[in-house]
This record gives sequence, structure tokens and C-alpha cells, in this order.
Amino acid sequence: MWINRKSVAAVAVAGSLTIAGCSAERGGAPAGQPAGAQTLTIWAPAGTEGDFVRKVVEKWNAGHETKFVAQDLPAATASEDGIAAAVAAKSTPELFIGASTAQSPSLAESGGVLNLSKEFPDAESFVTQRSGQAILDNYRAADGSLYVVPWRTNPVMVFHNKALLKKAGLDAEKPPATYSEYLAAFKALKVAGIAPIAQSIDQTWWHRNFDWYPTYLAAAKHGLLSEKVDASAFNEQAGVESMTFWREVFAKGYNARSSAGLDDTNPFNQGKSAFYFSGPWNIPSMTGPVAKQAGVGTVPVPDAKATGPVTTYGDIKHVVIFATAKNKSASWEFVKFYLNAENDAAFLSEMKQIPLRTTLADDVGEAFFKDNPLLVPFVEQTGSVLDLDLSTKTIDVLTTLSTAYQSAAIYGRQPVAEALKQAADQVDQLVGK
Amino acid sequence: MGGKRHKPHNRGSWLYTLPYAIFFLTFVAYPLGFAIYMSLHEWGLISAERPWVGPGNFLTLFRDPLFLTSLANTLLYLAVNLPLTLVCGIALAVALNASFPGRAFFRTVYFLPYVTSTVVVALLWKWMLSTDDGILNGFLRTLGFDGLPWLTSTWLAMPSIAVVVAWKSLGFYVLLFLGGLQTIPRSLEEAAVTDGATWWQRFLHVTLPGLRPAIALVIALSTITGFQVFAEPYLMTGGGPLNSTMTPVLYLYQKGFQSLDFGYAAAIGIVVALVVVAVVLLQRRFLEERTT
Repeated sequence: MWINRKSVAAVAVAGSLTIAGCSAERGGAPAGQPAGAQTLTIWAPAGTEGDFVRKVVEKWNAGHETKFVAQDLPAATASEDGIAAAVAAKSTPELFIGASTAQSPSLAESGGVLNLSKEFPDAESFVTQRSGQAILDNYRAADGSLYVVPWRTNPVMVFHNKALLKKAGLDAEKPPATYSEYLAAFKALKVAGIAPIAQSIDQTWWHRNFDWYPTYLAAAKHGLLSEKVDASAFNEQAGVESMTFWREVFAKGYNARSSAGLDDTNPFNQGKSAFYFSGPWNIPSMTGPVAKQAGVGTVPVPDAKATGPVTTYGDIKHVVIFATAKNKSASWEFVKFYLNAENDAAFLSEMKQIPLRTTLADDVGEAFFKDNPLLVPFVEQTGSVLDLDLSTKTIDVLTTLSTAYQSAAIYGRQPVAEALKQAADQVDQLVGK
Repeated sequence: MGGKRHKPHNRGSWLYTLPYAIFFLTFVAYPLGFAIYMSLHEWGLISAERPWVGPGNFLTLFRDPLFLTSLANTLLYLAVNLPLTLVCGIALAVALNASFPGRAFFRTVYFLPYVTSTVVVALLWKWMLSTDDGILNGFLRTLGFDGLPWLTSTWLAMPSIAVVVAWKSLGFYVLLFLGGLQTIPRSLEEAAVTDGATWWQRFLHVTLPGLRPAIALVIALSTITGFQVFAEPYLMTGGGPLNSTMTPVLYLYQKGFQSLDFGYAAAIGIVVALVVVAVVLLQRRFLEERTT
């Protein structure tokens, strides 16, 4: 089993940035390719992230004989589902940009992705040079090898709408930090006729990564499983306290029992609710009056005591090369190209997501952060993030906990302690040796 | 003398069956056989060893509360979907069987949802049924009512999905009923008119009995569809809230592609197939008894 008890390294701030942007077409064979030349396929997330990959692919194709083409990941409600189906069918392409930590142990153990340490002599030094030794050690498999290239992090924090806070008589410059402060603020907002918060109540496992799980990590400072990932570790005070906080939120009607959207359709981004748990990827969704007129601030997720740095979920994603890769060395060269300093800086600038590069701050420069003040707290937060447990059962564990959360917190069908005990029993059975 | 008489045998006739035989063996028999084989093993996607577990997966399945919940959810789905499909399907077929201007247009309109992508339909209905900003709750609020938690309540989510599936497949069933209406002899209808039967009496005693074969077919097909419902709960609710829209096939999918336990997923598939066969046979027997 993998280990994952360390927080990822901090990303410092400084530097200047040049974005080499150029237009890209979706799919299709790269232009100007000689007949019979090899075209290798990359899977990328759909939407703007995919568009970014296509831009980088175009830059690569302009200077290399081996051409790549970036395609959107096959549609599924979770990228993990599409990848699992493709691995089972052995229909995976060369590489995938955006593999989740939840799935990476399964991909490694199934032989679906390449052992990078074994295949490429410079793989480990590349990761160390880009992201630091802590990141490399954090994502080593039980066999000591590296199967993923840690790519970027999106620490989950809490956005707040300053205008709505002021309207409710709250100090917008001193937002809440502890559970009781948050609940008091929510109450004041509700009294003022303002929706306090609108998180999704969807049952699918990954939704918990953006509501309960960050608050659990803030309280527990460790993952859901034991050090050896062979037993549950969440059925403790931190688990009960953090889930009780959310139970209060729903019981008192601060968060409606409805499936709020995650992007620009979220009530927060439309200026209709005051708080929103999300990551820096949400910044581009706040294009309307919310960001410009109301003023938006970002604070750490609630914690019982809120003393010292507050830990949160890092939402770290990776790049993997599939075992089905037809040209392994070209794929590895592309990975290094995709993750070079220039592209990392462009990714931060365009996507507002944080590549795991220790020199990132110097690369983009101080001026960049002056122009993008909302990114600063997220970059600072990268020093206190934890990821998911590196277990092949992580998705099952989160599915179990999502049901417990729905039962105890959202619908109040059973006490929190009982729901967590039940979930812990199921998880122990699931991950027990 | 006394010997059996054989019909002349065309030795080349098997050649004509060969294309379908190849299709059947490749796409039906082999996958089915392989699924049975997998279900008897601990067949994880990520494990190198796939040991024989015999009926182990099936024994676990019958004690699995979530699988039993998914079957109970299907019964609730059928309780809403079947009557709705039958009542609306027959009503529309009878209406579209009459001659009126624009009949062809309406026949096409009612068939459109059936040929529309399930994903598109599911996402559209998800938006329409949204508690906060759905068009349906918006309409209810303009009438002065509170909006309903169509997809976020444990008691309303599955009936909502049953209605969506009924709406999507109605066009196809209307076609079957229209076909059934064409087979009812016109003389029966004329005789009933001559005897002074009202429209309702003619419908009850002539049309409905004449539609029995079509009704039996629609019930069987809707039941089979009901046990196979996947895309709508997958896209609209993810099986929630609190597993209230978890269906057997969605659970199979989760076990296969989230838990990567293909052996268990195969066992679910086989049990669901057997349950469908049993239910359809029971329905057929019941309907035949009612007909005779």
C-alpha cells in the first residue's frame, strides 16, 4: 500500500510570466504532419483545461516530429469511471492529464500505468527538481516506485461575498473561522434574508471532497484511514465534530437540501449566497458583479479552534502514462514539456490552478499576484494541504462516507456518531487485511 | 417399412444461418458465458490472481443490503412507471388512431423523445426538476405553491425518474398500441355501435380486450427496461439521495468501475437477468390466465 501522511510542499511567490498562447483545434490530426508519421493521443479534461492542453500540444507539435493530439476524456460523471472502463478494455491512449489521487493506486496496481521510476531514469529527479523531495516521497508506491507525476493542487477554501456579509451586519474584513463563528454568521445571514451557503448535496463520492472532507482534515490533520491504510481513522472526535457542524448547517436551513451547481451556476457565483467552499478553479467562474462590485474574500475552512495554519484538502491531480502507450519515450518527453516552467506559469495564469512547482512564484513574479489577489491565499494555503489516502479502496471509502454524510448531516436520519460508527465498520471490512 | 421418413435435407442451409450464428456466439453466448465464469471468481481489475469462489459472490449478494435496496427501488419505479406507461400510451394511441388534421405531426412529436439521446433527456429533466431553479418548481411558485424536491427527496426522487423514463419511451409504446389497434376487426366496433354502446363501453369491451396482446408486450418490455434503468439515475441523482434511486444496473456499474470488482458486478448482472426472466414469466402467466 501507499503512504500519504505528509502535507505537500509549499509553493513560494515571485517572478515574471510569459504566456505563449496560440489557437488550437479540437481533436483531429495535427496540421503539417508527414504521411505515415506517428500520432499519439492524450486524454485531457473537457472544457477550458482541455483547451489549455491543446495549446501546449500545438506548441509541441510545431517543434517535434512525433505529433500528439489531445482529446477530451470519455464522458462520465467522474473521470475515474471513464478511466477504469478504458483500462479494463485496454483502450487507453498514451497519457492522461488529470488522474486523481483516489484512483492512482488502482491504476498502479492494475498495471494500467507505467512504472515511471523503472521506465525513465530521470523520472524521479524530474519530480524532485520540479516539486521537491516531499512530493516525490509522498506519491511513491509501496514498491518504492513512482507511477504518477504530481501535477497541480487546488486547495479548498471558503469564498465569501463581502457585500452580503455587510448587508447582514457582519464584519466583512473579519470573516468567521471557528464552527461557532461560522454558524453565527450563517444565522445572521438567514435572518437578513440572505442564503448563507449553497454546497451540493449530491451523493456521488467526490462531492464530499468539497464540503465535509476539508473540514475533517482541518480537525483531524490526517486522512480517513490509518497509517497503513488498513483500518478506518475517521471515527473519532474530529470526524464527529466536523460532521456535526454540517448537520447543524442543514438542520437550521443554512444550506438548502438541493443540488447546487459547481461552476458559474452556483448561487455564490451569481451573487445569491454568501459563502462557498471551493478551490481556485472557481475564480474564473466569478466573472460577474460578484467579484467586481461585491468584493470576494477567501478564508480557510472552519476548524473547531482555528489556531495556527488550518489544514485543508489539496485536490491534487497527476499525469500518468498508460501501459498501452505506443511510444513511451515520446510520451515521457511530452510530460516533461507539458510540465516545464513556462507551461506551469501559463497554467496558473490561465486556469487559476496551482502547478506543483517550487519555483512557481518566482517564475510568475510578484506583479502577477498583485493582478490576481484572489490567488494569493490559495497559494499560501498550499503549505497546509493533505491529499486523499493512497489506497485502492479510497473511492469505496468515500462512497461509504458520502452515504453516512447524507444520512447524518444532510437529512438528519441518524445521529452523527452512529453514522460514523456504521461507516467505520464498513470501511474496516473494506480495507482490512 | 416402419422406417422414419426424413424430409430432404438441404446440406447448405446451415450456411444461411451462419452470419447470425456468428453474431450470436460472439456478442451473446460468449459474453454471457464469460460473465458467468467471472461471477464464480474473485475477479478484481487490479488483482493478478483471480481465485475461484464458486457461489461466494452470489451468497454475498443476497445479504448485501444495498443490492436489496436497489431491487426494492426498482419495484417502486415499476409501480409508477408501468401504470403511467399503460394509461398514457393507450390514451395517446387511441387519440392518434382517430383521423384529425395534423395527425402525422403529432405522431412524430410523441415519438421524438424516444429517438432523443438518453443523456440529453436526463440532463434536460435534471434541470427542469431542479428544486431551486427548475422550470417545474418555477411554474408551481407562480401558482402560489411551494416547489417540490423532485430529485432531492428520498420519497420523490425515484418516482420522478420513473416519470422521466415513461415520458422518453412513450412514443415507442404508442407505436405498439397503434399496431394493436389496427388488428381489432372494424366489424366488432360497428356491431357495438349498432347495439347502441357508448364510446366508453366500446373502449372497455372492444378496444381494451383487442389490445391485450399489445398490453402484455408493453408490460414485459417496460419491466425489462425497469430492471435495466441506468443512465437516468446515473446522470440525474447518482443513485441518491440516500441510495433511494440506486438501481441494480447502477449498482453493478459502481461495483465494476468504481470498486473494480468485476466478479461481483458479473454476479449482479446474472441475478438481475434471472429476476427479469422470472418476473416476465410470471406476468405472462398472469396475463394469459386473465385472457383465457
